[in-house]
Amino acid sequence: MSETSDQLYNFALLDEDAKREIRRKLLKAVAIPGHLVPFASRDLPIARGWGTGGLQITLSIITPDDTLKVIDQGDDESVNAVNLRRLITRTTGVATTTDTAAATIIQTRHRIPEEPMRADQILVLQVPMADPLRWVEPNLERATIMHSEADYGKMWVYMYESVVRAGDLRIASQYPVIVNRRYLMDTTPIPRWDVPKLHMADTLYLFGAGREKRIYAVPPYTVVEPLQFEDYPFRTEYRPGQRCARCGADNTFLTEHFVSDSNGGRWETTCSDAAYCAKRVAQMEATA
Amino acid sequence: MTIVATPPTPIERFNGLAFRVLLDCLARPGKVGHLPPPPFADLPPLPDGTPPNATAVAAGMSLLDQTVSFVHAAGEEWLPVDHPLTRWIALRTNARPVEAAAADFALLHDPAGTALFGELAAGSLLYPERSCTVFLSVPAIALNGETLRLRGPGIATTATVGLRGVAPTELAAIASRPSQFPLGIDLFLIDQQGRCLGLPRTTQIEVI
Repeated sequence: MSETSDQLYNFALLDEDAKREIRRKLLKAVAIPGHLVPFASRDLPIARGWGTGGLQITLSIITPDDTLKVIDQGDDESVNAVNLRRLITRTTGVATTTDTAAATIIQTRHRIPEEPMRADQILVLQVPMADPLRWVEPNLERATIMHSEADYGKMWVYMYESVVRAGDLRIASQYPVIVNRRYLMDTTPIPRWDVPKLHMADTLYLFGAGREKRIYAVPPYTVVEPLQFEDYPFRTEYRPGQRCARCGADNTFLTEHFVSDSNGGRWETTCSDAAYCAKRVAQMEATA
Repeated sequence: MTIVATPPTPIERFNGLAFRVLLDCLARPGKVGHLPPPPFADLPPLPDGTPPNATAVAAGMSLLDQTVSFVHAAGEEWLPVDHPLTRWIALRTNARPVEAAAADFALLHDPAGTALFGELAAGSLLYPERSCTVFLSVPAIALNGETLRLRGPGIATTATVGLRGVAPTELAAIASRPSQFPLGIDLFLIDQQGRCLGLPRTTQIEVI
């Protein structure tokens, strides 16, 4: 590559106008917690639906001094995370890490890291479906009016019907929450295990939906309440006695996978947050 | 790994760093942020001959481009479209100078501008984000002062901040600014040293 082709792109890929637009929308999203703010959602060298909303937020907020971590389903090494991390680092030159505690910006798909995040960190979530009212009101204009009037009766009926049909609140992910006692918000496909981490957190959460062209935010120390009934309360996936097969943690979100062995194989559960699991294993080996 | 991008220019670097301070301050009302030094110093003076707060102007300009509009005021007067400072900002950002009610951004060059809050757009229930973002220059934000008590999202319990050189009527105007959630204006207070305080519409403000 010649000297000129090495500098083909603007810092952080997006042009300055695109960044400025997203920055303006981010400020409004923070000022109106849980409200969906429309934004232009530029074309990127990654297809919409593959994390372009989160990516555009990260590219708009990143500075040369940041340390970046990108995870996909809790894993730093999966294809989506590796590709996004490579795009961001090649267009910014920022340092990267897999250690949650060392990162200043963490872009994530479908998980909030297990390690508690601090006030000086920002979590950027990739959002596939921005509007929780989509389930009960497919018409976007009508859903916008419902949000403006805090008219969430249909959503409560949906929750009630979930109880009637399944005997419990059977919502595996994208669990709907009320933010700051006003706006109904989609939590993205994080597991229910992660939903309580949004409530009165130390960290700023930014949400980007590239395909749906929406940005929203949950500021730190904001009340985030999952929809629930008195007799059917919100519950996480936690099973008493559950353990990670690798690090032994009994207080993490686990994923199940099949391990082949000479007896035909077995199911094993391990931490979904791979970096946290590896850190615990390393600590145990160091003390052993 | 080959880096395939140009490093940011001084203005782009300021815009990026300033945005992180603005975002942090707006997400954590009561926290005093420190804006980087402004990337220019040759601003035309205000009508009374004093220079405007360059950091506050630069922070406001970091969010302006051809798709948005702005208005600015010295004292209790909106500055006209043909004022040298209006033209200076418009030339460098391509933002449109407009009347107050239509402005996406307002630069208030001194605390007397708080009297003009009522003229700014507070958004609509359908589009609460179509509201004005205000950059208000104040003489000094004190690190451990007790002028305002703040409550709301972004604050664990309560926060207090100190403001120097802001009259009681102006403090009252800040406390009673248009903020009927989800409608309202969002404020950044920026002092001569580049210290920054964010007051989003969600913050309940009480003058101590």
